[in-house]
Amino acid sequence: MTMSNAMNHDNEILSEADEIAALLPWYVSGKISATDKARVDAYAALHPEVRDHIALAREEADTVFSANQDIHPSRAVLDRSLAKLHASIAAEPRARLYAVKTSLFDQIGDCLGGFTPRQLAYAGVAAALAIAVQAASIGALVTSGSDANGYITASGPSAALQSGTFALVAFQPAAPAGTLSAFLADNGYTIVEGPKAGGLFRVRVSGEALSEQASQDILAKLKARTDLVSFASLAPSVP
Amino acid sequence: MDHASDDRALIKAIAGGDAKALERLFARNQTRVFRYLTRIVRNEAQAEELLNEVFLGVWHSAGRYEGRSEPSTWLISIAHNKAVSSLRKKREVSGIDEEVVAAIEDDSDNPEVTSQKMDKAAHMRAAMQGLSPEHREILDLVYYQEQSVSDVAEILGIPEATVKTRMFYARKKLSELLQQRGIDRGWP
Repeated sequence: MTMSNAMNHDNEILSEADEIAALLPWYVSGKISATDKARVDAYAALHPEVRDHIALAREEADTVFSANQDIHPSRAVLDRSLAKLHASIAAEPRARLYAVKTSLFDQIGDCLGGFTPRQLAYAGVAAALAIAVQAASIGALVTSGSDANGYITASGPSAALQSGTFALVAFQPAAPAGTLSAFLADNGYTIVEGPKAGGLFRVRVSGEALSEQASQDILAKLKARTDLVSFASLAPSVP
Repeated sequence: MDHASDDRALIKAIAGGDAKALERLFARNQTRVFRYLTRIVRNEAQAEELLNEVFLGVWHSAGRYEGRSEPSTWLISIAHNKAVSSLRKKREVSGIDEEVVAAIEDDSDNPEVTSQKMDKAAHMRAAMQGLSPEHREILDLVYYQEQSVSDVAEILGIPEATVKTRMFYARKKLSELLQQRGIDRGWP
């Protein structure tokens, strides 16, 4: 925040009455130290008008609370923000272990306790290999499952696949390849890019730029397949 | 485990590179952080951008979280820094002082006309909108985010005595703005 006139008073010394007035918001919220609370109570016992001042602070609290409650981020806003967050993380060249909570990685994680740093480094390699195995499996699904769109690799989007409606999807590592292949084919979904870090794939869910409602419907359908999909969020058309 | 303990565990997992833990921390705190950002920058599209930046900041700095402050305080502290940076850039680009704009908006009607249009609660809310960003923020941090004096000091990076002084003048200014709207609170 830029320095404003509001901060000109910051270093002034308050009188006792003003200090009590300054403490009332915390008195009302309950987030006041025992010392300060005792100070307010003692002052209020001698100055009855403080009770009216506490009522003013309660009015302020009610106003701030209702003003905040009136701000409702839409589902679309939150989904977009989460998708961007995933995309930002995936784009980072970080050598971090993405400890995805899945059956396979839980087993790896159970083995990590008590390991030395060197052993943990090897365990990290093992986890990365597990992600690579899943990626290769899905990559094989895409290449063998494509028909009308021709041969598609999952390493990056071709020009023909850069328009439409997209989602960022992470698949369950234990998902059967046949079931996953059928699910993608039945719904006309195409993996156009991935895997990104964390095992995320960019999936074209429609060749058209769908309406918000239609996009949300597809997102709900993806999320409903918890046996195949561990994460799904709408993604911008341009990655 | 309570909410804070759960969030501590998630931050620890994020520090270890657990992207799922970040997603869960996002889901648990997104609305509260979004509201904080929206109230400070007063623009939902900008708040959406900043929401993403806040949790990306969490991803980057989770390893440095030592658990000495509440997770909510730590999160809002990151949000505060993002909001401050954003407002600073906006001011540098536009050259517009938000406080001046708020004061202009606040004088749109004379007190009598305004009183006829609005009830007391609406006046209170409108008056709060006329406060400076610093004064609005401290009211939100205490009344909605429920932060203690020491928490607010940590978030804003100022001494506790300054927190109390700023709160006093925020409330005093609020009374002045209400007075301009024809409402005498009887304090200070």
